[in-house]
Amino acid sequence: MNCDEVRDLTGAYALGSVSPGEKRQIEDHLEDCDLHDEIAGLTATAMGLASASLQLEPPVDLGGRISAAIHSEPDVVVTRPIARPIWQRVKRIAS
Amino acid sequence: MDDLYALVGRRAFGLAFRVLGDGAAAEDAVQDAFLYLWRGSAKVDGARGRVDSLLMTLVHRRSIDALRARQRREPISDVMPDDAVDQNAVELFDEVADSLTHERVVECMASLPADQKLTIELAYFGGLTHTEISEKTDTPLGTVKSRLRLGLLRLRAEFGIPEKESR
Repeated sequence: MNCDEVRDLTGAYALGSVSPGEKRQIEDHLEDCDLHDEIAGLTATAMGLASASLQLEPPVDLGGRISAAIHSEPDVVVTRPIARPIWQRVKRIAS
Repeated sequence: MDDLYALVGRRAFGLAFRVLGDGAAAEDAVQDAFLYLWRGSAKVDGARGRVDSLLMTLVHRRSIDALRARQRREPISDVMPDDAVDQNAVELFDEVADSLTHERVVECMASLPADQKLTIELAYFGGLTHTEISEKTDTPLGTVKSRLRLGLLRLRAEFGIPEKESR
């Protein structure tokens, strides 16, 4: 794909609306192309679309089932130092 | 994990339900997303960005995968940007995430031309590729691509997502 062809597909790519073959061609092209920044911006925009759906109360036992499923998982092994562990970040967001 | 669920559980379930239209399938998608996040938490720990943003992206992908599997279409995990999530996009999104309430996003979507809004919704909530949208709406492929790009560019401006200064 050339730049013009990739530019035509930046919106579709950001929304996951391309074929696997197109995805590979776009990512190969982005290695040396300024369209990487447009892709990042449009992907960030697509992330915001999640809020277009209403919040809904999940079944009361869903949280418990997720917690039980996680506790049945093997421990996650962290192989390098962490500046700010993931669950501390959760608490920071929640507070 | 309980903290994260308390924070995003309603948002996550609402998104999964909108995509799937089925409570049981939506529960599965939300649970799958939490488990995926847990299994990859070592990788996520080393990444930047907010965990709730990542989780919502995972919920969307799991929901679309389930929808496409139900419709016997290939999973979208193979065609979404990056392996887990595009870190540059996450950083840009995090700068505006708190301002993007449901009301705000709906308002921004409503400001789009109707054809752009519909095309974006078919891609994001319907999990359709641009080719599938073209066939479904009997619209030329180039027009579909253009609506997706121009619509998202306009939404980006509405959302106030900044230009990234460098890679």
